Amino acid sequence: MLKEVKTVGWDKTIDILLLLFLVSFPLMTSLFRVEMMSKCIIYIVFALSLDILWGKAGLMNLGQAMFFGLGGYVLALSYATRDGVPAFMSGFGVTEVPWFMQILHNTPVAVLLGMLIPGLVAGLLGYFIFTSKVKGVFFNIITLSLASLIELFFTNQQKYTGGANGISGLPPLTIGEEPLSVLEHYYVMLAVGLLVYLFCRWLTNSRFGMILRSVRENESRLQFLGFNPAAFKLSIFVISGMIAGLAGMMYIPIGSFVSPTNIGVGFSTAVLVWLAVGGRGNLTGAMIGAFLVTWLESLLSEHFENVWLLILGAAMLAVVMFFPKGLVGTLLDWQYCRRVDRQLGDVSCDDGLGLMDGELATAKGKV
Amino acid sequence: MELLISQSINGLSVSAMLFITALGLVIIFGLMDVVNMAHGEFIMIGAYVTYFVTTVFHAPFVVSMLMAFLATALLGALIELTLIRRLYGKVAETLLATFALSIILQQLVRMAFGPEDKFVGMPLEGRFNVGGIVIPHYNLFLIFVAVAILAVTLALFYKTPYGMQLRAVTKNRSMAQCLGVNTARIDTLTFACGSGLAGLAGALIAPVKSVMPSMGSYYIVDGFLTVVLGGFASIAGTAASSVVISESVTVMAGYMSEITAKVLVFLVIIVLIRFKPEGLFTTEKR
Amino acid sequence: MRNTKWFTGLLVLVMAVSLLAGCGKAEKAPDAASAPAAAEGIKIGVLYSTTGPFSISEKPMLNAAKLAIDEINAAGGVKGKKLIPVFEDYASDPAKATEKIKKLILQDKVVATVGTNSSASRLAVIPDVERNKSVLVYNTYYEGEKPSPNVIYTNSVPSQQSADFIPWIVKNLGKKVFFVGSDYVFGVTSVKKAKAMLEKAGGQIVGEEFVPLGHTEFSSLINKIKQAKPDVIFSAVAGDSVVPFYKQYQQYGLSAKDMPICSIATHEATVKGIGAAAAAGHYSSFSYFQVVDTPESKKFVAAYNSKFADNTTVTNLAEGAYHGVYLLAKALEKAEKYDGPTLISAFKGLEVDSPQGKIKVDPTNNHTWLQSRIGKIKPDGMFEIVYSSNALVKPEL
Repeated sequence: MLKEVKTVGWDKTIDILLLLFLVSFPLMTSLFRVEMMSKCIIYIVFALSLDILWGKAGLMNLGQAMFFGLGGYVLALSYATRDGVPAFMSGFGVTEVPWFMQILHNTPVAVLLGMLIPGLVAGLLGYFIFTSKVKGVFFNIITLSLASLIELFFTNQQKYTGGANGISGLPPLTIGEEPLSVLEHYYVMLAVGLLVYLFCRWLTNSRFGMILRSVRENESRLQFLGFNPAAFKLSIFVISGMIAGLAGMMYIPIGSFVSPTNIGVGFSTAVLVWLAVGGRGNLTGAMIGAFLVTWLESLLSEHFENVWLLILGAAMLAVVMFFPKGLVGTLLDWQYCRRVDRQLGDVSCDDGLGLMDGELATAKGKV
Repeated sequence: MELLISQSINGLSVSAMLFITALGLVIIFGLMDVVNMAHGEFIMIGAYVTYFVTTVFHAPFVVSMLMAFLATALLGALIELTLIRRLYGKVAETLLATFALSIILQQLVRMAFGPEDKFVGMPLEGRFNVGGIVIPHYNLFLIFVAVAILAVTLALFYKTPYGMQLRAVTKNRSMAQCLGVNTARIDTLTFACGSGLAGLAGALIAPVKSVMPSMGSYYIVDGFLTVVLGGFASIAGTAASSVVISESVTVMAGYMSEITAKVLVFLVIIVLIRFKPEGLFTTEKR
Repeated sequence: MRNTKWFTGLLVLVMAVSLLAGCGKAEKAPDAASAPAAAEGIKIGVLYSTTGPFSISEKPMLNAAKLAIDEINAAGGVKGKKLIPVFEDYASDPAKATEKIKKLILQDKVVATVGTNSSASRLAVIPDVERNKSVLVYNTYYEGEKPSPNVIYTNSVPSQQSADFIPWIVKNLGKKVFFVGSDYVFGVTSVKKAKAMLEKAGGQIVGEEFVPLGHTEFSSLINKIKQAKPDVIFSAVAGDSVVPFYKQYQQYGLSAKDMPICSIATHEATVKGIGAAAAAGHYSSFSYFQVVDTPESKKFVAAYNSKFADNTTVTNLAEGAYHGVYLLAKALEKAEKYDGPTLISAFKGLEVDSPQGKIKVDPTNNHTWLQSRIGKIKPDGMFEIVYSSNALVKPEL
């Protein structure tokens, strides 16, 4: 038995550095980059929503964007229908805003629904999947097909969703009379992002989070101990869906736009990539992954015509092949191993003990 | 009524096409637990091979079917040996690796051959006309090929030593290894076979669909729906579920939007698997 | 194993540094360049996808825009200044287009942007163009909308494509028309406009069907067409559905001789994909076809084909991007200042000699008066122009 290893993990250090960087970012650069960073913060929130589900509970949702998109569409419709029938509806012969959209005109109600509807969809879906005895991979396939169907469905229901064109020209956030400036938006997003981050940290460190981890590691033993894994899976799925819905709503004032690409398979896969690049299961990886990939994508496409996509694909492949735990995950394991090495002397623990993704470092040193 | 009948007959050839495009996905997913996101790109490559064989080199269509199968099988084997091999047992990693691969393949083809449609001619021109209902010869050919592929894969899996070994590996990998099965070779062969089937599918759809770099994305969704309904490792289940999905969607599409039909079918599937988790058409229990 | 870990650390470091360097460099560029750039050249944004599914139409448009910019610069530029294009690829993702347009306007400080093709990406960028009082030159035929005050639309709207087409169909091909379209704004609006014109021209609507965007299975639609027994099919089927539609139309034994398809979205590039055998005998209506016999057109096609050997085809879209850039250059020539409102008003009433002939920007609605032509596909897969308007056709929204 080892003594408890008492140091601050690098993940927390990185988190704090990232926060400091984000707070001071507007001082360093132009407004345009600040606006891009606001979007990046939203993506970080979105990545967190998947990390608590996939990283912590082991449920790889291949359709996470459907919650993001649902949240986004709810708020977008709330804005778009406020001043009478929008052009995309009247073009298809709708003369009156349907009742289920009139409810949305009250902003608090819309914001609430923007989280409740994704939560409800997650709940229903989870109920059908988790309470039946389907194989684990089934969850992946069914969420993947659902995401692509939802994308098709939203493209098809153009009377109400704007179809393939989506809903554009959405207003920025307004407090009082004046719409917020780019900088104010940025800090609002940062504040919300910080709250979500703290919530996720609290959630995953709580008893609930511990049980989730055991859902991932050994479901049958958990059952044996008298817990109902399905209930835990269902609740984390709902929570994750609601946070993704929140991220989708945050996207509206910044992107001023929502379309079926925000709800489908492509975007769902993008968030998986962020987590894979950063490393999952420790929140930090999700954030770093989202941050790195979105910026790399933008900067690469600014500098290399055509081949930027190849570079991105190759980089993705390289990370998956050589750093299966993601960049942050690998870093944390390395730090942990060094520490254990120091304590054990000549016995090396090398590459982890079958635990995954930086979980090693957060396992509080009980070897 | 005539609409209903001709829609049902159309449904059959649509089923055949769905079965052909989905089978490679099912084999790789069901037997190896690899969600192959590059499946659509394998289909695309098969179609491009067909374009080169038939349109550029004017060889017969049958040759292109063979070439498409071989070329994509080879590519699949190569990918298995270099990438997938190191990632077995990790659903997420294989999915992401194949996703990255799909991005790379699609963009490479786009840069090499241009973004626009390539032309592949119709190998069988004629059609039957029965009481106002038209059945193109090529559709019958598709149904015939689908049945043949079904028969051959079933025979391959249940009547050959390779099939026996494969099933042994799927059931219990380490036990099979202990009994002297070369699991690595089986994996490569299976992945190559699944990819080859995707390529063959590309060849078969090329005469009636567009051949372009992003074509693959249209076939993945329906492929996964088929997997969900048909159960995982079941080839016969795939065949049955292709027929059920295509027939119900095609017949319903005569009367409503096809997307609505698809969504309805999918909702029914989700509710059904609550009660029959192994997929609707599997009877074997592990 | 140790090596891997060091490598990780290194990789993270390199990524972080390059990222910051990237930001820093990109930040500095405009500051350093802005003062001399004003003297040396005029920056214009060129926003087309070379990656992702949209590249099928946007690659040729990008090529044509490049060609036009090079020609203008070779001829001495605008007011003695060279046009400096800033190319951005939005990867066929409208959400990314909003980011790229901001980059072009706010960071590169372009005076105007040529680009976007699908309505989704146009609508996505318009709010940012308007908010920043910039200019977008949009070069694709589309469904028509309440014109944005900051956008110049240089290609046709449905009324322009159908105004001559429908009466011509009724007169030459038959009265009973079946309407099909892709189920999105362009398809639905075009069919709606065409139906109204058909009734005015004394034709008869025998059916109307829409297929989902990107649909590739047409057996059901063809069954419905056969039951309705029309003389002609009017098609606003667009995008990736066009090739399968024609291929399957022939496969099910319908022929151009008995029931020709009259399309407003089938151009030279898609005909290549359909194949001459299945495409021959059908009709399309555009303002420009590759075979148009003007000196400008011949020069344009020859220059395009010699400059770009990338398997792309000159279509109405490419010509749109080409004359869009020429219109922009002429507006820049005319305008005294390059702020959005001044530049937009410089466009109004502007005329240029484009490959399709003389065209003119409408003084009120920001759209363009264009030629109108009907092409019939010949057995060798090329278009043959069977009708040309004598006067420019007004853009009616």
